[in-house]
Amino acid sequence: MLCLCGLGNVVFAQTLDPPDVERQVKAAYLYKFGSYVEWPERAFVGPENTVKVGIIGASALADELSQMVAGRTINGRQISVRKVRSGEVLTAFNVLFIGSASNDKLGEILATTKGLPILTVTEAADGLAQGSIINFVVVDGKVRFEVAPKTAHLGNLNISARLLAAAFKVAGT
Amino acid sequence: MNMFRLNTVRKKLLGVVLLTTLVALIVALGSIVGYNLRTYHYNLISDMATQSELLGHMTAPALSFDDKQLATQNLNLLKLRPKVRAAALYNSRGEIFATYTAAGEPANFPHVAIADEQKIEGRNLVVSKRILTEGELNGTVYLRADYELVDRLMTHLSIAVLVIILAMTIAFFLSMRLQKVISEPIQAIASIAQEVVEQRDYSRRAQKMSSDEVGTLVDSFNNMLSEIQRRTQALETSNQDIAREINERRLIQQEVMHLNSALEDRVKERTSQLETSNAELEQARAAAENANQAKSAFLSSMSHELRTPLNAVLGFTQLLLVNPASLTPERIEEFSNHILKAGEHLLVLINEVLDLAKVESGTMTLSMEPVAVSDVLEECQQLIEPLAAQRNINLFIPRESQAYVFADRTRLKQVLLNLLSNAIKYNRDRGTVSVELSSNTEGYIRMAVHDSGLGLTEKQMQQLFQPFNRLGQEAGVEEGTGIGLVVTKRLLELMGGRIGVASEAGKGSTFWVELKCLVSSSAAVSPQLAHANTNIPVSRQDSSLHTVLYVEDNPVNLKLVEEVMTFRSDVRLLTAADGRLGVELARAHLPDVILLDINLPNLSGNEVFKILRKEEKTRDIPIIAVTANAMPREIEKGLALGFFRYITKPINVSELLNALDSAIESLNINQQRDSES
Repeated sequence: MLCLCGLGNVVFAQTLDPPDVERQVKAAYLYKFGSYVEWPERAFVGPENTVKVGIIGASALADELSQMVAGRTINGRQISVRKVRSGEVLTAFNVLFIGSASNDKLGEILATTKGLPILTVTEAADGLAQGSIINFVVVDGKVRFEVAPKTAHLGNLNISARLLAAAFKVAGT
Repeated sequence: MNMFRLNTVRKKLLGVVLLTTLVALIVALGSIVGYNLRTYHYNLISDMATQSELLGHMTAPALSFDDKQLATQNLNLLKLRPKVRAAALYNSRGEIFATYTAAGEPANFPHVAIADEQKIEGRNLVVSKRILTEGELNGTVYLRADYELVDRLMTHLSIAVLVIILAMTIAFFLSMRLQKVISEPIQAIASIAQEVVEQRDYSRRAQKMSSDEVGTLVDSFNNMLSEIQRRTQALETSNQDIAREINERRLIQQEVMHLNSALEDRVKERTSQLETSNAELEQARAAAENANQAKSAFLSSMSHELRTPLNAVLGFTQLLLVNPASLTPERIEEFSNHILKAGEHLLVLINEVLDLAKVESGTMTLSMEPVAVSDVLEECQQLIEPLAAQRNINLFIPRESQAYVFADRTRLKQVLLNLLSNAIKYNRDRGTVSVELSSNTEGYIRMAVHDSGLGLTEKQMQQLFQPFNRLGQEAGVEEGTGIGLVVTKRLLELMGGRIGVASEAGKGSTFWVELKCLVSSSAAVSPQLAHANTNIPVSRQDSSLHTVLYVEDNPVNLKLVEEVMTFRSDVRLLTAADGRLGVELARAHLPDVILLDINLPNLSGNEVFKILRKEEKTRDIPIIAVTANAMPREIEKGLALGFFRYITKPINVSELLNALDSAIESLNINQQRDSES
């Protein structure tokens, strides 16, 4: 509920403080994407059995998301949010957001996650082309997203058709 | 229930079949329709609930990612379900997010999302379903669909009505054919019954068509007809009897009414008769009252009339007895004449009263015989002349008459003497009395006595023949009883005669009598003259001495006869005071004649007579009865017994002496005959 309130606020406050609203909406979407994605069972190993979200180059968003998912679950699994330090192994994450601050190292990062069951989300203009699965775009002042289901299939991720229906654009169609 | 008032079995059967069919159809079709509608209702609700669930699932991403376009697209898919007339999507805050309406449906939606519910609003089913994602409210779906229960109900009912009509029609025609199996035999019985009633033909019988209950009914009906036939005949016979009886009763009633009217007539007649007799009785009572009053007056008068002569008798007798020696013979003779006259008057009075009593009691006996009028008139003249001379009345009585009348001689004389003495008594001084004889055409002879007295008024003439009425002479100087004319009238009536009077005041009256005239002057009539001579014969020429025995208990009577016999020198008188002594004296002396009183002590005169007649010595002695038993029956009885004569008291001396002479004469004749023989 807090998230939705934040979302609403984003929409109406976008012009007043664009960077905050956008960050909040994106944090909320990040959380909601989890509901429409199926991970293979091997993605969740270890005793914790949580959905591990890694944030790269967006420290404020990471904080935002951490607050938002406190006490929430995705398909019955706890959610853990962690800022990714440079040089850290990325294969242990289930969701990986690469902020626009790290767009210069985008190709390098996406190369390491290619073929892995990791939902990669970017906010770059050519994010999908560089190999991400979901990419945020701003259309008419509103935060929308693009989806590349083929990329997802590479890492054995199954994207729900309902998410595709809500997407601004689906790559490869 | 109207059908049970239907008047034929046919219609009732039809009604039963149709009603049963109708009820079965209604129950069956009602159940089917109810079940159908219930199924529709629950199916629709279930369907819409699923639809809302699906819609919620489908629109969840649009809501999550704030995509109204997607949401609208999702909702527009509902065009495939035309029953869904409108839909709306609310976001998690309850605000309208997207809507859908079918063509022609108004866009009415609640402004705020409502909780889960399914409800019927008029002809719509409204379903509201919350959309949950990861356990959180994502939004709400609102659906509105056509709820066609009423339409369906109408449709079902229409179908049901059609089915019922069809089924009833089939049932109607089917039962029309089938009911004949039951109704026709019954109708046959009914028509037979009606014919029997209309034609009164109890010999008709219903035909038996089956062996079921109707067959039994036919048998029972036929049996009943036989019974009715039998009873009807009996009833008709009895009715004829009753009709005959009624007729008889009517005749009897008419007879009774007739008798009643006759009875009423008789009662009326009797009533009028009673009234008449009552009036007559009243008259008779008044007459009796008058008579009674007159009788009372008469009794006082009688007392006076009887006392007057008695006064003379007793007074002069006392004078004679007081001092006989001082009286001259002329005085004695004068007194004796007064006594004699008074006694005679008393005798007349008593005789008249007795006569009247006899006439009134109907015991008067008459000795009817032809009587020569001239003889009677002569005797009357002799008797009445002294009286007329005493009063200085000129008396004219005709002597020349050849007429005879049929009458009692003595009574006729009594009648004429009464009229003559009245004419003399009530005449003026030196007046005249005349008798006129005439005969009328009816065969009656009339003797009319005219006087020159004061005459009678009209009223007096009316009262003339009433008993005890003296016409104002009660206090007069003339002696009378007031019954002389009444006795006269009665005597005349007894003799078949009539009496009448004509009078003119101041000039005199005429009393007349009429008696049946006998034309032939029969030679058989031997007028026997009464002894008019009042002088006592003092002597007889017979020289021989005769013994006479007088048996009498009354000393006075004894003395009188002794005195009378002193004038007869030829008679030796023996006297006996009772019957026993009389018989002894008669045996002892064998008298020539016996004078015998009847009412004697010890031995009655009749017994003495019988004793003397039984004895040979005394058997032929003539016995003369001297008695106060003066009734004619007793006189007859005495004469029949054999008395020589019957002399009644008071003693008429001359009569006694005559009887004595007759007895002596008969004795002499017997002696002569004895001597001759």
